[in-house]
Amino acid sequence: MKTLSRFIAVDDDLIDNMLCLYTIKKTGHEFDIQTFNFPEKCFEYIVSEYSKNDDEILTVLLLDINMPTWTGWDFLENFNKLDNKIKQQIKIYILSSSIDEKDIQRAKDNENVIDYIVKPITLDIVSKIILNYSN
Amino acid sequence: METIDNILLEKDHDVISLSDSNNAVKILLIEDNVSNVLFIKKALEESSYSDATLFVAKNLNDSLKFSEENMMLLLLDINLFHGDGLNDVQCVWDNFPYSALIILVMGAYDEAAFETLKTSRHNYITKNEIDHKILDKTIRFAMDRSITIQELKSANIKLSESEDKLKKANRLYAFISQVNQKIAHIKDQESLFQNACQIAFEFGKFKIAWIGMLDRQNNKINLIAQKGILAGDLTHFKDVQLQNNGPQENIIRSGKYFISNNIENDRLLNDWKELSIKLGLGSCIILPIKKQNNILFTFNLYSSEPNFFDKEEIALLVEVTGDISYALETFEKENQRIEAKINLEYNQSRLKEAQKIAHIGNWELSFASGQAMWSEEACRIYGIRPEENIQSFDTWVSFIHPEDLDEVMKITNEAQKTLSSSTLDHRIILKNGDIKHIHSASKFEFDKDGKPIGIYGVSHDVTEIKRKEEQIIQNEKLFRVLIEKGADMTTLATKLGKVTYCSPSITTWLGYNSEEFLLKYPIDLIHSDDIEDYLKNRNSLLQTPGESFHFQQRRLHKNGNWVWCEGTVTNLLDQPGVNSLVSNFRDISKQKKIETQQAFDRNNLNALINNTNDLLWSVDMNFKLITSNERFDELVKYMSGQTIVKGGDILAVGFSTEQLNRFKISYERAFEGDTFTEVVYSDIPTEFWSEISYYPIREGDKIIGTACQSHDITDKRKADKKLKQSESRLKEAQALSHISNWEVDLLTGINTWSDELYNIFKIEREAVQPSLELFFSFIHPDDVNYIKEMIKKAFRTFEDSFFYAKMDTKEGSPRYLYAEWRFEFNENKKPVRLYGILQDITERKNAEITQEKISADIIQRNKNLEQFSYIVSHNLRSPIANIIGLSTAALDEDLEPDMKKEVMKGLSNSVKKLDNVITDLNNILQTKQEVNQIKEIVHFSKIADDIRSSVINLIKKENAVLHFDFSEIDEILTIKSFIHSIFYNLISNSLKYHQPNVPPLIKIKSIKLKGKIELLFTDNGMGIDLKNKGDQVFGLYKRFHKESAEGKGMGLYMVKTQVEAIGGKIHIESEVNKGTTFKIEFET
Repeated sequence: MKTLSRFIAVDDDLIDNMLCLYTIKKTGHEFDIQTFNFPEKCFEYIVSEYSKNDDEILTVLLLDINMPTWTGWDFLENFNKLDNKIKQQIKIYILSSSIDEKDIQRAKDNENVIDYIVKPITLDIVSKIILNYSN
Repeated sequence: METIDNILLEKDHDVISLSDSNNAVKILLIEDNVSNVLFIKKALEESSYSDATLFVAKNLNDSLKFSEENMMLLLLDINLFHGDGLNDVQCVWDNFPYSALIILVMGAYDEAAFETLKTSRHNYITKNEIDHKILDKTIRFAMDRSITIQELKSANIKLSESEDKLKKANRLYAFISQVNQKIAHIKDQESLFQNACQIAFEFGKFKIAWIGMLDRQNNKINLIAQKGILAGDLTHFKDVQLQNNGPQENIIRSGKYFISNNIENDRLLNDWKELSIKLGLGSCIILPIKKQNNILFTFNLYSSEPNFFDKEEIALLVEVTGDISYALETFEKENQRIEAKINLEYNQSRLKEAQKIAHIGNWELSFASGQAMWSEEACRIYGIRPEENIQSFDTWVSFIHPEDLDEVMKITNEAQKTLSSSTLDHRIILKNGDIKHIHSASKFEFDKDGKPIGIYGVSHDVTEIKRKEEQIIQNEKLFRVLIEKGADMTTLATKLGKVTYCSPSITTWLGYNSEEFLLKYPIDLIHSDDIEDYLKNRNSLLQTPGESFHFQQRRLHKNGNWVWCEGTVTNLLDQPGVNSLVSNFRDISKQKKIETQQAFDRNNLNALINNTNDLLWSVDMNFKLITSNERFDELVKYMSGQTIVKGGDILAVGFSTEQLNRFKISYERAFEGDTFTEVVYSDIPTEFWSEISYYPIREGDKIIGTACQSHDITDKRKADKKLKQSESRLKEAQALSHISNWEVDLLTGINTWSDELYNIFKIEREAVQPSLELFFSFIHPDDVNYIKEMIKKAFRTFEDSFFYAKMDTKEGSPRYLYAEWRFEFNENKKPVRLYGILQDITERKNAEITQEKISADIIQRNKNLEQFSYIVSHNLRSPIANIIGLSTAALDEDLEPDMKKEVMKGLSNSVKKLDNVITDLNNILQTKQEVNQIKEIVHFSKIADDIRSSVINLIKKENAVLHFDFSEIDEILTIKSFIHSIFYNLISNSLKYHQPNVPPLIKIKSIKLKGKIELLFTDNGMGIDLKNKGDQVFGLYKRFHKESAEGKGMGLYMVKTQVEAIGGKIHIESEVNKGTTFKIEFET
């Protein structure tokens, strides 16, 4: 298994992205961290970054749901259409302030979603995620 | 040798051929000793008979098998083992009469040999002597002897035949001579026949002789004379039926005799065979006997011997029968002669008697002597003594009545001139003065030269006849008058039914005139249903002269109608002067018609009375039943178990005392003369209502009773009750449900409304005349046209239909109606009735409206709750989550200063965001409440201008152009704050989301349409991708523009909520990078 080497945070809220950046750094690991305000941009990045690169980069993607233009769901829909090779490298976690059961259930029903994390993101949660992908 | 041995041992007999010749002499050896056989055979071979055929039999029985073989010689061993010595010899002798016989004996001392020798009839030979010479010699000797014996035998036979012939001739002669003797003496047929049989038996030596007489009518031969038949066998000869082609029949037909010389084997006499054998009859002859050239008898002769009849015999018998026939002829002639003589004598005396009875006398006048000879009766007629029978013409004339004299003389003279026969009627005066009427007839007598020699004639005393005639004429006149003037019809008819007389009344009643009627027979006149009886009666009447029978029958009128006639037929065929069947009858059609009518009326009345379910009865003044119909009787029986008889007490039946008392009162009321009807209830047998009518019966002025009729009205009662119940229930139901019904008779145009319909319209039934116009007067003007259209359509299609309508309620609160109708068609598919219901559905409608409002409210509340929940979980949670995250970071002591500054700033923004969300939440909840605010007239232009002023800075900043057009309509009755909010949100959205570097152009226009106002908000902004986001456009906190992050997703949600709150609709059209148009409609 590949070692976790990158975090991507997608949220239209700048504060959230800032908090993600801060919390991941706080773990003390050196990760490549990418943040996106618009899911479309993130998607473009993934397509270009992960299909050309022969090296497989195990990535954790933290995805907000409630965003203008593309919502988190729109992103997931598009993501699903990607090659398995790309999809295998990216572990998606929903990171939403919503505590709506409907949202949680919908996320869990999506095969590309690893887990649903209720904001705010904490050091604990990130540590656990990292632990999941440590050998 | 061996072979022969074997043969002899094995078989009882055999043939040993000494020669091959077929014509060889046949010798039979009867011998059971084989060595003897061989021995004799050897001797024969050596003898001159060596070519003979030798047959051998071992015993006597076997030898008999050769009896037909024409043996020349028999050699018989007299000592056969099972033999019987001399008896054997006799047996062989009898069976082989034409063969020579040689006895084989043991020796000369043989006892049998002695016996044979004693008779000297046969040759013998001792066995031990046999050699060919002796055998030869003995055979020859035996043969000679045999021939001699045969010749002797034959001579004997011839002698006996001659004797027989002689005997027979004698016999025949005796027979014929006896017969002829008898014929000469006997004068009658019966004796002749009896004697002939006797002679045949006695002299002719026939066993049976009998004579049969032909009975042509019955085709039989009857035995009339016989001899030789025993009493017990007589029946076989009596009444012998003639067999077609049988002997008797043949004889009678052909006149030839029949012979059977062997009855036993004669096919023609098969029927007689058994009897013949029993009686021992061998032959028979049957000969015809003629009488006056007709074969009327057969002479049957039987002999016990077969072949009895030869030519002579037959010839003789033919002669005998010929003689008998001749005798019969003679008898007949003699009989006739005697008969003629007797007849003459008889006739003479009869003539006298006849003349006496008839009062006819005769007379002869001889011209030669001038004397007239009168018969006895003639003398008597003229009143003179019989001795005075010699009269003359003149003496005769002296008797003539002077008045008739001229006429008598004239006729006699005339007769004398013409010499022709004459008759005359005249009177005579007797010496005693009596006058007699005489009818006389006379005829001239001529000699052979034709010269008249006399006159003879009869005188008939017709005095009595004349008197009777006159009386009859008198009677008949009377009779005719009676008949012809009588109303009854009278006819006379012959035995055969031919009408000989009819009274004139026939024409009156049956239409025929006499001539027509006389051609009629009963069968022409009498109805086919009546004819059979009539003819039957008439036939039996013919057997009983003087009797009558009565009839009632239809007779055919000339006009073709049937006339009922009643009368009698009397057999007066034997009545002198009538000699007819006399019918007297009259027309009874009228009575018959009345009777028929009465019978019909009676039956009809009975049928009527008994074919009703009503009880009918009548009661007399003593409460006794006069009459009743079957139904009444049945009910009485049912109730009381008894039958009430006519005349029975009507108050003793069936009911309780109380009820009977009531009936009594009713009867009494009827007896008073009151005609009335009352309804009676009874619980016998079950609930039973009847309507009893009483009709007093009057006889003149007096009431003699009452007729009663009870009609069962139980069902009607029950039905009425039910109908009333269901009618009132219907009314109740209609009132409760506010459903009325109505109908229009399409033929008469008459409208019928139920009570409830008047209730719905709150009008009095009596005050109005139901009609379509009246109906429309209660319908809200808005709905009248639509309903009229509906009705028009209904009358085109005749389809069932319904409609809802608002009632025109002058006083205010609206009422709603529901109507439904159907057409009824007649058998020709033509609509005849329109019927339907009209229901007041106001309560339901109001309930529905309330319900709808409540439902909408609940749905809205639910939506709000969902929205609230959403807002809480997303929008409220979002800043809080940030605050939690940021505050955690803020507590991090290792936080870099720049980072710390960022965190604090974020914390501050998040708190602000939280505050905004709470404010929005408040706004939303506020909107719901504001719906209940009072509506007011709002001017679009005023609102638009206000907003333009409030955002003037932004307009300037964006170089935006706002264009308003409210020229078509500028005002609306609604909630002002909502319109303001709507305008504000839409304008600010257009300002916010303009295309980069394109100054916003915002157009707002109001359009007035029918019943509604339309507002159009158009911009040239970024537009929204409706394909992807269309469903979310008006959702809360939905944002579509990443470039304008400050959008909260609140505006369009608020717009939609508020438009709908004041009863409008909003619709969006948008194209990305082109612009957006919102269309809002308000109902007015």
